[in-house]
Amino acid sequence: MRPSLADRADLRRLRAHGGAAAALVVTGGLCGLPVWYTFRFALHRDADGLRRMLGDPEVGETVATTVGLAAGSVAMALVLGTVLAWSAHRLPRRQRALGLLPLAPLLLPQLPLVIGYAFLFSPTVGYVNQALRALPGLGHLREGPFDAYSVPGIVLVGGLYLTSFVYLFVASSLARLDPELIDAAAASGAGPTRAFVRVVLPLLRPALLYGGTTAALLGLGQFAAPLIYGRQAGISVLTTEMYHRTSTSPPDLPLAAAQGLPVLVTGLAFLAFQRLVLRDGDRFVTASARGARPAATGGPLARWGLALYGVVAAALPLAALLVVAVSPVWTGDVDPGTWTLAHVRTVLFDRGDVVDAVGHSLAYALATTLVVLPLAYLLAVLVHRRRSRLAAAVDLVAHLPLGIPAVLLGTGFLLASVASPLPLYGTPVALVLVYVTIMVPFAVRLQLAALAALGPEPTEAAAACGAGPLRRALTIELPLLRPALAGAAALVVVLATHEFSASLLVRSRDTQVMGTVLHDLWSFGSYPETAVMALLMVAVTGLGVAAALALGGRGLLPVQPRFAPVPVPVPVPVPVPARARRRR
Amino acid sequence: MTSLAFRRRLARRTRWAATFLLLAAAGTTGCGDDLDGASSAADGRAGGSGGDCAYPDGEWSEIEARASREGVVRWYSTLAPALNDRLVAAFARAYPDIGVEVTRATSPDLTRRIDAEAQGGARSADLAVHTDQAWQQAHGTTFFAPLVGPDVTDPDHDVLSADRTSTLVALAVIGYGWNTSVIDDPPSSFEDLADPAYEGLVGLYDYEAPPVAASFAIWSEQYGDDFLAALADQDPRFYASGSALAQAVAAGEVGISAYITPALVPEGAPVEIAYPVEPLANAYVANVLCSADDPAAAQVLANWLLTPEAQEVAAQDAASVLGPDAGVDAPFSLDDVRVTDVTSYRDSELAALRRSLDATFAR
Repeated sequence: MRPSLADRADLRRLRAHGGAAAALVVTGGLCGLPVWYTFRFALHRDADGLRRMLGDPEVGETVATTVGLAAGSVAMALVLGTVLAWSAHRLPRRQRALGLLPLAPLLLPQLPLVIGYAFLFSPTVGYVNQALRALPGLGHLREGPFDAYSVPGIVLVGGLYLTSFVYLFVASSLARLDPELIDAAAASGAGPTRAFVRVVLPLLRPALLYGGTTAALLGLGQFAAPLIYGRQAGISVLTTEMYHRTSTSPPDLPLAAAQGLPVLVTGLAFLAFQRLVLRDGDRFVTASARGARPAATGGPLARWGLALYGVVAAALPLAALLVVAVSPVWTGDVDPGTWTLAHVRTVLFDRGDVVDAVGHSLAYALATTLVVLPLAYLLAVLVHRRRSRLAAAVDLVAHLPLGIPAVLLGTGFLLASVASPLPLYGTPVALVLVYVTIMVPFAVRLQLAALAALGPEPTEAAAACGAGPLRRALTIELPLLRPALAGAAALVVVLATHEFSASLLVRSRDTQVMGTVLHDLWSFGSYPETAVMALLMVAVTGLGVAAALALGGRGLLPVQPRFAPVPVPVPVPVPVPARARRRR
Repeated sequence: MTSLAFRRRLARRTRWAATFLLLAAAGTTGCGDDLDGASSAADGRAGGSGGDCAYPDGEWSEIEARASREGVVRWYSTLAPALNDRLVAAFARAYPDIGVEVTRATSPDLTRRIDAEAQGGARSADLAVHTDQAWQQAHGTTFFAPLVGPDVTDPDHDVLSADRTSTLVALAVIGYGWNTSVIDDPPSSFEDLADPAYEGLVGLYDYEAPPVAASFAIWSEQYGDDFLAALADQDPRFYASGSALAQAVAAGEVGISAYITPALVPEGAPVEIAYPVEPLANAYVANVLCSADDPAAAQVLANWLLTPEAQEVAAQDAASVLGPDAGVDAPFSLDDVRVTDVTSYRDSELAALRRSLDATFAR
C-alpha cells in the first residue's frame, strides 16, 4: 500500500533526522571516545587521579607555566601576526608574494622546526648565540644571550608558530575589508598608523578574537616545544606532564587523564566562547563595489619585516638542520671542510625504521583521506542543507576536535585502546582513527565553503528534472566540488604527515611514523641523524604541499598573493548555518 | 491517520536506528571495558594474563634449528645504540639464518610499550633487554618464558634468576666525562663535579628510570648528603636518556656529564671519560616474552648474549657478566664495580625517591 502524503512527510522527516542522528553518532563517537575515557580514568576509583593531581604541590606551578606559556605566545602572535598582515596588505602588487612568507610555519612540520631552533638557540653552542657572542659587547658572555631551554625560549618558538595562525585570520579579514573606509580616513587627514588604529583595528575585532582564541587553544595544548626544550630546565606544562605519566614505568594513567582535564575543559569552553561571541560577525562585514585591494603601499619596513619573519621562522631553522646533518658531530662550529654525507647514508639506507616510517606516514595519511573525504562530505551536505537543530548539533560536534589538543586526543585514544575491548593498541587503525578525528573539522569546513559557493541552483534544477539524491550527488555536486575535494584531500595528507603529538601516544613498534621516529632520534639518537630525519620529514611533507597546491590550485592557499577573498581551509567565523539559512 | 504499512516501516527503521545507536553508544561508553585491568596491567605490577607460558623445549640443537626456521627475532633493547649494532653484527656471524629487528628505547619507555602492547593485544617484543628488574619480577613466570639455553643455564655463570625467566646479560659501567674543548681544567674525581667552577656546565641523566634514580641515591650515600645539594647548585641540565646526554657533551652543550659510557659517545667527539673509585654499573637483564611470535629465535639470541663471543662485544668498555674464568677481555671485572640494585625499591619507595630528588633539584 502506498503511504499517504502525511506519511511520506513523516518519512522524509525521519530520514532527515535519522541521517543527522547517525552522523552525530559517528562524529560524536570519534571525538567522544577519547574524551569519555579521559574523564573515566580521571574520575575512576573516587576520582583518585584527580585528587592526586589536585593534591600535588607542584600542580599550581605546572598550571601557571602552562597558562604563562600560552599567554606569552598568544600575545606575541597577536601583535606580530597583525603587524605582518597589515604590512602584507599594503605591499605593492609585484611584491605581494612576500605575503606568503608568514605562512611557512604552517606549511612546514612543526617538530623539525622546533629541533632546528634548538640548534640555533641552544645557550652554549647554538649557531645564533655563537654568532651573537662574537659581536662587540657580547664577548664576555659564556652562554646566551638566547636560551631555547627556558620559558622565554619556549614562548618565542611558540609565538613564532602561532603568529602564522593569527596572520592567516587577520590577512583573510583584511582582504574582505572595504578599502574605501581607509581612503576616507586618509582623506580626513589620518596617517597610515592612525587609520589602522582607528578604522582597521576595530573592524578586525572578530578576526583577532577568533585568531586569538584559536592561538590560545593551540598555546594551551602546545606540546612539541615544551617536550623538546622543557626537560633540560625542568619546565613542565600539563601536556608534557600527561605524556610523562603515560611513559614512565609504571605508567600512571588515571593521573595522566586528570592532568588532561583542565586543558580539555578549557579548550571546549574556548570553542563554545568562539561560537557564542562570533554569532554576530555580520556587524563587522564591510562591502564595496570596488573589490578588495590594498589602500596604500607599504614602505621598505613592511618588506623587511616580512622577510625577517620568513628567515627567522623558517629559513634559519632549516639551514641549521642542514648544517648539523652534514657535520660529523654537532659542535656549534660551522666547518665546511669536515662536512660528510655519512649520516645521510645511515638514515636513508641503514635504518630500516626510517623507510618504514615514511611508508607508514604516507599510507596512514592516504587511509585517513579515504575515510575523511566521504565523511566530511556527508557532514557538510547535512549541515548545509538540513534546517534542523540536529544538523546544527552535527556542525558543533564535527568541530569539537578543534577544541581538543592533538596530544590529548592521542592520550584519550591510548586510554581507550588499553581499557576498552576494542583491539586498537599498536594497530594502524588507531592512528588512522586519531588522524580522522583531527582532520574532520578541516575537511568539513573546506567542503562547506565550496557548497556555499556552489549555491542551491544546480541541485535544485536536477531535482526538478527528477534526479534522486544519489544521482544529484554523483552527477552534479561531486563533479562541481572536485577542486574543493582535491584540495581537502591534499590538506588532509599534508596535516596527517605533519602529525606528531597524538601519534607519539598511540604508536607502537610497527606503526612508527616520521614524527615519532624523529622524536626517538632526538631522545636517544645522534644529533646529525636527527637533523637528517628532520630534513627528510620536511622534504616528504614538502612534496605533499606541492601536490596539494597542484591538486587544489592556488585557491587552496589560505591567503592569496593578490589578497582575493578565498575560502580559508581552517575554521573561520561563518554565520551559524541555521540562522543564515533562515535569513535567506 | 497513519497506515499500517507505514507504522511497520517506521517500526523497522526505528529498530535499525536504535540498534545502531546502541552499538555506537556501547563503543563510546566503554561497554565491557576494564579500567582496573588497564591500570594494573599497564603499571606492570599485576603480572601477565595468567595460564601456562609455552616455550620451546627439547634438545638445544632442535631449538636452534627451529630458530632458523622462524627467521627473525624482534628485540627491544635499552642498550646503547652503537652496542646494539655491534651485537647484532656479531650475532649475524654466529647465526646467519636468524635476523634481528632492534627497537631502541629507554627502560621506562620499553616497559611501558610492552605492557601496553600486551594489554592491547598487539604484537610485541620477542626478547627484551632492559634495566627494570622490579618490572620483570612483578610480571614473573606468567609473562616471561623460562630461559633454556646452555649458556644461560650454565651454573658456573650464575646469571639466571631463581624463576629462570631472567638473565643478566650486560653491565654498563658508569663514568663521568667532559668535553675537552669546553673544559680546560677537568675534574680529578667524581666529587669535583660539585666544584662551583663547573657551575652551569654539568649535565645529568633524568632520574625517571629506576636505575638512574637508584644511582642518585647511591651517590648520596657514597659522597655524603650534601653532594646532591651541591650538584643541584651547579644548575645542571637534565637529559631524557644517556644517549642524549652524551650527545650534548659531545656538542659542548654541557661541559661535563655525570653519567656516561663510552658506547654512547659519538665517534670523533672531543670527549674524555674517567671513572670513580668504585664505579656504578647498570645491570641489563634479558627476558623472553611468553607472547613471543618467534620464541626459539628469542631463546637463541638470549643464550648467545651469554657466550664469551658476545660478552667480548658487550664488555668492550665495561664489565663482563661471566666472571674472570670465562676469559673475556674487559676493562672492569664484577669485583671492581657496584651494581645498582633496583629490586630493593618498591614502587612507593621509588616514587618517594623521585620526589626527594625533585625537591633537591627544584624540578
